[in-house]
Amino acid sequence: MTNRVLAADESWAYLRRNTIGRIITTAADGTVDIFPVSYTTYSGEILIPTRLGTKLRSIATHPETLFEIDGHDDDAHVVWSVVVRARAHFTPTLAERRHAEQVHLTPLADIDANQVVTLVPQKISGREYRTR
Amino acid sequence: MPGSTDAKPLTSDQAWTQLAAENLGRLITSTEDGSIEVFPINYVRLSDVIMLRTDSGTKLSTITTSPKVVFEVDHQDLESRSTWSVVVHATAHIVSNDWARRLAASCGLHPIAAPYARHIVVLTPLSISGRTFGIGRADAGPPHPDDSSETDTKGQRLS
Repeated sequence: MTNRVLAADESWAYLRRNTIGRIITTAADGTVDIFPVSYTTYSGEILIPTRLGTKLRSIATHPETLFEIDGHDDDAHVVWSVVVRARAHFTPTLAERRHAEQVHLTPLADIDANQVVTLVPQKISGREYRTR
Repeated sequence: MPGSTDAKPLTSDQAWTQLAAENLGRLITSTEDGSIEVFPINYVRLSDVIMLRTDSGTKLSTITTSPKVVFEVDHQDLESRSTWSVVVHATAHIVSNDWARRLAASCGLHPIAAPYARHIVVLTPLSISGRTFGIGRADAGPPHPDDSSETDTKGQRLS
């Protein structure tokens, strides 16, 4: 029964292959919250299309976030998880915005200049847990 | 809901029902100095509490000193392209006796990360909220532009 630490490229492979993760934010009063989000990877970053006025606004005052994806492969009896410690900002480049639009994560009308959260990874850790 | 459309709140009853339908969630611990960790963990819902099982380690020591935790469960339905999510803010209690271990085992609680985990953690909810919303997965949509590109260990495109 061993838990395996994933290499960085294995973690990135999981990040690129998936489209839904969870962002964990801290509000100014220290309250921790978690939201499932659609995302895409781009040039070593994680892009999250969002809307103005959501709870993700707490990122503006506390940009240190965690991002998590996980899943299970029942045939291989494996549960895997990738956790990204990242700094978030609301100032996507034009290329980032175009990329977020390309993948149609949300209706195009929902996306404008300020509606992409960019997560710049600082630390990535991945694990595989054997379930049998 | 970020990155999604048409979020609808679940009632408390609906949120509890959804919790009973899954067995893998995420436990988020935070310490007073603001250090936050997230762990995937198997769970069972038992009446109005959530039971987890863990071995001695980071999770357990953090919970002991900082018992206020957040627990999250979600699920994507590929056919309807809908997602639900339930978030529980809870107080964690460590109950490590034979009775609790037998109860957990009889409920089918099999921990993923530590099959012989000795410690039962009971989450008593302070609040529970649930939402359903329409985010689908890219495998039901256009191809992922990043899928085919070669990358180095930092995820940078090489080509």
